[in-house]
Amino acid sequence: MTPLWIIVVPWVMAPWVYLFRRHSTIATFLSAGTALSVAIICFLLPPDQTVSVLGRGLLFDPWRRWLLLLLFAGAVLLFLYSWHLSQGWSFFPFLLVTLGLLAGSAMVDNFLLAVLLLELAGIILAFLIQGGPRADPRVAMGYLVPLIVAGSCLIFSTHLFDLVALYPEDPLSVRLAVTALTLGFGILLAVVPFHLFLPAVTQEAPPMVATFLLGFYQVVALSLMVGLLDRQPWLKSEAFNVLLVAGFITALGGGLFAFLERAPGRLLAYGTISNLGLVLIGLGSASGVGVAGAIAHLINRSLAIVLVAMSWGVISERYGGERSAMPWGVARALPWATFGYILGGLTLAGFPLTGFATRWPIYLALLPYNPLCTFGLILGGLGIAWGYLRSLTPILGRGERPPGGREPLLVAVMIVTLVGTSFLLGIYPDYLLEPLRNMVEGFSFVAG
Amino acid sequence: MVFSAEQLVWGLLFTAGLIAVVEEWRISLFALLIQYVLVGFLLSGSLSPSLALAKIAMGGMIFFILYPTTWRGRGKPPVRIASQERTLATTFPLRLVGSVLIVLVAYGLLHQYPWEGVAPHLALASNFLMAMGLWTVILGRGPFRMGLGLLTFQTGFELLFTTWERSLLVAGLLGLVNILLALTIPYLKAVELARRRVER
Repeated sequence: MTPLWIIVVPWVMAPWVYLFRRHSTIATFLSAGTALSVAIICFLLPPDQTVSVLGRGLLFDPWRRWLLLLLFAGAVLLFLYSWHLSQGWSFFPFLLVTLGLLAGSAMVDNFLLAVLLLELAGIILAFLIQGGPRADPRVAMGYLVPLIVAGSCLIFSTHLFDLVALYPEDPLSVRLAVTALTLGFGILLAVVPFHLFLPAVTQEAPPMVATFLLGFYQVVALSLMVGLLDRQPWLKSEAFNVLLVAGFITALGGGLFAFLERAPGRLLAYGTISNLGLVLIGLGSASGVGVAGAIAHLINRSLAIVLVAMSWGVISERYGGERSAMPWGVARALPWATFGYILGGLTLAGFPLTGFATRWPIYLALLPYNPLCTFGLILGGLGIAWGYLRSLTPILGRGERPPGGREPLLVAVMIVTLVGTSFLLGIYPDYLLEPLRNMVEGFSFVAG
Repeated sequence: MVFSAEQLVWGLLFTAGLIAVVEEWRISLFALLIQYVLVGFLLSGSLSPSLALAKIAMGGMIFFILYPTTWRGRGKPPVRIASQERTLATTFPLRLVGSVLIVLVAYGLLHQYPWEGVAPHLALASNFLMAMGLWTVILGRGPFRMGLGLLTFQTGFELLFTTWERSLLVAGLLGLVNILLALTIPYLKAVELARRRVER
């Protein structure tokens, strides 16, 4: 079995799923089955393999194995959730195509091709963001503009890599390359101040599409950045400073915006933006503890995004997406969704027993640089917590149990499982951090 | 060659200007088609003729992807959404003056920071197209016009990049980016039309 299956299987299945797109049960089980099969393939395939396709190498190493497992296991949850709670007619087949493209982008041993595949996946996501006629098409368009600009910056940077290779002593080429990469990744990952498009997308897009964009698409984009830091040693001197500064601004800025926000969709965006800042700081520290912490936090962040989006998705599906028009006492009708929403929010805010465990190594990595900045990161987390507390008013408010059924059983089970996983990760983070520490030692940019 | 490089650059400047300044959809769409043909001619000097021809064919495909939906929405005024209402920034004179300024800025930037290893006429055309594309996106009030701006920007970027990277696989993937981008425009335009019907 070759790693090529990871890319090909979702593409082969997508047309079949498209045929059954109106029959949600068949489409769900075909899509979830496909994602699960690929996740099993990722688990069973021996790592450290290289396959050549059209003269280009496809890499499957321990880092990519983790990444693809997260991607496809997460996709199984998203597909199952969409069984009873529709995310748009195109969700199942288009997400399968996107998964194949993202897997290709993660594995291909060529930065230019990886960026192009990521851009293609991003454009397909625009169809899913639109979802249906209810959403404003300007939001999807507003997402496409930064995507294309970011893609162009990253593609342009590959030409600058060639220039740096030709003239390694020329500081201008290095500075230009770092600038192009900063702009490209900054826009793509919605780093503050390039984040303006993201809150509108999370507010308008179907919850599972927003989840995929924030929790999985961005993770693949980050993995490209990690791969680049690993393979381009000349980037280290400048890139790590940029990562630390951008990470701090993003973590604090995201927290500040979350502090001022009450709409759950936008709050999710700001919470994840702030957490992305932490991940960037962890990577920028270039220490074993910091980088392992950053990757662990990335996984924890994805978990929290799925949890919040699933929970809020049920609440908004039952009682409308407008928080202000929601009846009071929603928690009585949807207890599991409410619990998931609160715990997901606490994880994003970095509270003990949930999100704090994976924040701690990043705080430790930042302390030698600037203890005051560590305090700033904690403040950012408190901003998210305050935002979530305010958004809870109608959900936890006193009132009669509003009409409307309970959560679908499968969704309730998934929420409870995610809550359990989040607690486990919060109480025993070493089960995740330990293997990650061993893995990141293989990165060329990690010191000690 | 039928046209000189200079004539082709002027032609590209004119078509990009038409897309940015004129709101009539037929003119914008035909300008986009001509833009792809001119880019094909311009690239035929530096690339293999078959690749240049592929660019023109891709332009034709994009034209036929965009035409039907835009034709369906012809003559229908935009929805009255506050942010879409006609303002000074979207009037013809301001578009024209803004476009002229953008062209001057793009020209100035090229003199200040020339692209190394790129023929001057290609660099000039690329800078113009990228700048005008972004300007059209900024001025755009809906998916169609913003999409045309993005396609123009992408054309300008490809003009520059294909002189550095001539791999067939990369050219194919860049073409696929264009086609997918063109497919999203009629989809979002169709949604806009559907919303318009509901709001009426």
